[in-house]
Amino acid sequence: MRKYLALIKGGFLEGIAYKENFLTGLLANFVQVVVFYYVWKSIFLYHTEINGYTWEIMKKYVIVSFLCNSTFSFGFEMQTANSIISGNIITDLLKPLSYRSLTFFKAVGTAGMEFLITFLWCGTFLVMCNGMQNIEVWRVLLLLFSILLGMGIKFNIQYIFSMFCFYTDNAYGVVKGREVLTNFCSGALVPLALFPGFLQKIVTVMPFSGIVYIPCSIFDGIFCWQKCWEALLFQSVWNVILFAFGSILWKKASSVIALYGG
Amino acid sequence: MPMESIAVKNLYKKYKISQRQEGFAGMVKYLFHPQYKEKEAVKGISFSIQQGECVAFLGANGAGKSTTIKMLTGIMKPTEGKISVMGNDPFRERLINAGKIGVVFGQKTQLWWDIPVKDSFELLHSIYEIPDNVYEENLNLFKKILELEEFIDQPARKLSLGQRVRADIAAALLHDPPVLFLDEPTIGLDVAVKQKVYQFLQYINKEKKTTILLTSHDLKDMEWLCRRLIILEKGEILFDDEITKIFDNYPEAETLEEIIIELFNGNTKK
Repeated sequence: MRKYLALIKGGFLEGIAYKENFLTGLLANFVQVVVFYYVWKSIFLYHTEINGYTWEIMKKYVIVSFLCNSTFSFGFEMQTANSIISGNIITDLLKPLSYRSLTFFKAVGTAGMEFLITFLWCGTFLVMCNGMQNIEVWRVLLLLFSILLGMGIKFNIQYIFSMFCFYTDNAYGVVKGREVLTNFCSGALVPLALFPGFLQKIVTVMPFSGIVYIPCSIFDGIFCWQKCWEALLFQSVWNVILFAFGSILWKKASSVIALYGG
Repeated sequence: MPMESIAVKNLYKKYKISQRQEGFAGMVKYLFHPQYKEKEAVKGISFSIQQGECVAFLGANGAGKSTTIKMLTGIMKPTEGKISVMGNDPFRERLINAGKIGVVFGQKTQLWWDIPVKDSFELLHSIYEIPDNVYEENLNLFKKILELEEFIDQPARKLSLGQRVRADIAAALLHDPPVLFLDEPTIGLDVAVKQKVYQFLQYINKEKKTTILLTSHDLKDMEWLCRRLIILEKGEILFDDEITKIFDNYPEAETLEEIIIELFNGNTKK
């Protein structure tokens, strides 16, 4: 147990070492959320309702989707890829810890700090432009729980994609591909409920929806009480599946590690 | 009777190297039908090392030294053959093996780049689950001998090469591993630091009975540290005996390269 806490602390310290990075990222994200906010606002000037979404709901969706999407988003695939190419991955493999635990707990340390700060300012932003109306305590609690599960999904997906980096030299393509796929299918850009019929059916059963769409829908009131629990179950099941898949991939990928030179 | 700490039997490692033909046509062809050539980096070597021995692994660039070290540390899967390090198969039992070995790669660092060296050590303290008294004792000892005090509060990226290697060696030994692997630990170091590192290794070998296996290009440097020498060339063992014997066999040779050339010529004639 102590080793995992130490890794979380290490990730946290590393996060602080890169605080400028994080702060500029935060600023860029802030601009993005404001743009989204006003784009939707102007759309809702001409429609009172789109597929069950009113401006009141959409407001919450935009802000919370941002909260879900921006934490744990650093994408450690790039780190993994770089360390494979530079050969530095061997120092990670020499630790008496599985590579997954190592990356996971380090990531938790970094993400913990990110999440806390993003949560605070997203909350402030929401209260500022929405007030406290229509916010229920149980939905907030379920939201936090759901975000946690969503982060698990996100981590597992990133872990799986970072395994692909063992096979390809072009990690940038893999990472970008994953990012686009996640952004599009998770509901970070547009709520999945607004997708056309057949596409909507596909994306809602994919694990990506657990990252943004589910937590948001729990919070903004689109899901009823029962649907909330089903959604949490859905997230949990995907966590288990992706975890198992990641384990299998690691078995395969770790034996192709060929570190030339040195 | 001394215990066997490393046993290697018939170890093979083949790499797949992609073959791409020149020009645009070659690129397109590669895209649809990639071709690979197999390269044997290590060709069936066997040796065994007793607990407490200090062995030098010598060879020119590309001789297979690093590949062998990487297989011994469990990072890389051998194509064929058997390895046992302190009774464990390094690749299959990587996590168990990792707790029993210390590794230093002269060209890489296991210190966290952006946090102070002291914090990196603290992390290793937890990751390896080192008992507090052992950790304190080792840290104080290493601080003294390797003179870590002057830079222990700085992040690894700010250290000079000599400082970084000293910190890395300390990091690899904090958990009192019975086996220590060093892959070109003194590459690029000046004579004074090199001397300090070798003296420290000798001390560790003597006091803690740590088995040491280190690679280098430099024969002269290791003469007084290691008693046994293994020479690798093109993935095969050319020489495995006491270090003094190599000079008896080749009294006129000045450098390792000369000896290797002679050994290799002798090998192909047979």
